[in-house]
Amino acid sequence: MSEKHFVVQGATCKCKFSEDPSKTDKIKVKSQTKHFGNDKEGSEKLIATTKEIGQTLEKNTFGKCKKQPVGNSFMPCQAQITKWSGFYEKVTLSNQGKILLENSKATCPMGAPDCIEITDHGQTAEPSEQNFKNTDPMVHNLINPMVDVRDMYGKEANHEGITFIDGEAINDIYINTNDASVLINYGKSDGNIRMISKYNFEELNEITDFDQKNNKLKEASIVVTVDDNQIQTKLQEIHRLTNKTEQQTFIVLDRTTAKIIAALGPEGIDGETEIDTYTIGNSKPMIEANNVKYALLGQVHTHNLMKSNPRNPNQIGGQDTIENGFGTSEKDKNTAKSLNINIYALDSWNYSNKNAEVSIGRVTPKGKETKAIGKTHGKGDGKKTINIGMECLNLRIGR
Amino acid sequence: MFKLKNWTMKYIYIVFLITTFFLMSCSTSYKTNKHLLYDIPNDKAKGMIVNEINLLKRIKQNAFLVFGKNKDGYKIEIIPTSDLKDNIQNFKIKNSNRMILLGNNYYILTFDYDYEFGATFEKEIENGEFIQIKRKKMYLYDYATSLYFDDKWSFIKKESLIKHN
Repeated sequence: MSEKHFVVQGATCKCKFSEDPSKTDKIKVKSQTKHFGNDKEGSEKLIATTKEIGQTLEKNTFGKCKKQPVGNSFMPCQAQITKWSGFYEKVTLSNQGKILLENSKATCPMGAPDCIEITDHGQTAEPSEQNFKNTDPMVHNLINPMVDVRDMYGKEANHEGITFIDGEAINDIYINTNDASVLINYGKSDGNIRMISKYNFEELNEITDFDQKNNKLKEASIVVTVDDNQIQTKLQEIHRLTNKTEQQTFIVLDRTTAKIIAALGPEGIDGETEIDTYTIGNSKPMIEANNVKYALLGQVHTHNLMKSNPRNPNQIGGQDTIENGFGTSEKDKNTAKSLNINIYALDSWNYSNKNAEVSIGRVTPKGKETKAIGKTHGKGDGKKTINIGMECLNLRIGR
Repeated sequence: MFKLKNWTMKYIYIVFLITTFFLMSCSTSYKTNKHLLYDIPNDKAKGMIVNEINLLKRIKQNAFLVFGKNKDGYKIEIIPTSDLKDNIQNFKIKNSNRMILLGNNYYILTFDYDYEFGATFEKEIENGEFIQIKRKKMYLYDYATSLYFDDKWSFIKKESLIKHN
């Protein structure tokens, strides 16, 4: 998978209508002086945003412009940027600009839409191993959403890739009430996660004073919490219900209480369950359980004990016995990837006792399968439980 | 008169039995005229698939296949099922007109992108407004076995949650 770097001061760009295709110019960030990106050499470069409009290049020319013929030649180019496309939509910096990515394109009125493109993002080199180790995964996810550094290095550090001026950022992470999509995540590690309607968020996000904006957003939102007890009880319940069929529960965001809870899903059949999701426009997947609509953050299902017929006595070769295996299946992996959620499987087939502490397997949207990540709480006092609700919430917000 | 009636009843009964037998045992075959037939151009690969189907038939009576193509080659998923019509109301299976002949049996066939792109659209009222929602069903077939082949149908690997001893 290719990385998408953010664009910083000194990024090189070219225009497809330049008479000399090798002519380039460099971006000069004039729209803000507060947000910096670190490069390999450790120097700080201002992050370029969609507010880099007008004559915002060093030379403001790409040579001669093929769109302006005069006689046998062309008029000199006077690069004038009117708008940007292909930027990172999810973050708004304090200048109200969105972060430019290396595949962002600019429009010049003399040329055509998206005629100016970035040829070098301005960061001095590809990130080294040390860069990844020094990167706060949440911040990295914010600025380089295509890469999860935690997949590369397990240890997380506190170094921040973007420098904030105190009081000029939104303190908390805000997620949409309906589908739990992230509305804003500035990467502040000490903030709360809050639920707010998209309509309210967009209205209040227009406020330019950050103190006022933070206060108003807090008033209009609810802090998201994880009801781990309820989830643990539900996990044990689906194990208890499992006999000849699979059972399932969804990990969801309750729209009224802002709690991450487990909602019982439809019963499956022997060896199969189905997840009936819905989306509106480009929303994240949502589900309906017991006539209540929820944002879907994860799914847990049981694997029942397989019943197989004896081997055909006339069969030559082949195996004598077939039986259940631990963990998640290939289809679980595909579904996790498709819905971009964690899928969990309870090895219920291995435990006839309904109060047993049942082992749990997990597969992530990136296809990473882990057996026995934890156990259900059994009679209620199990010590090897895993906070699935928190895992699913963290996955959604990129933490 | 009685004998004739008895003979007629027997005749009707035998015809009914034969018809029922053909409808049940050859339910896939008689449809093939109006179905699209597919083939795998490699006998060894077909043999491996048949072996897996026979193995999975020890869990459920029937099976259907999901074909996929990726950068490494082909992926053949074999999904055991007790009854195609009860396959959790999977309309993609029930309505598929694609089939493949493996051994002496026809099997229903779907493609992985049927699942990726398959959706239904409904209008619902939310917050007092009509909105169009897209519904998509994901099926977790935990007994499925996937066989991976390269572009020349050489076997690469098998993925299955089922343990064989």
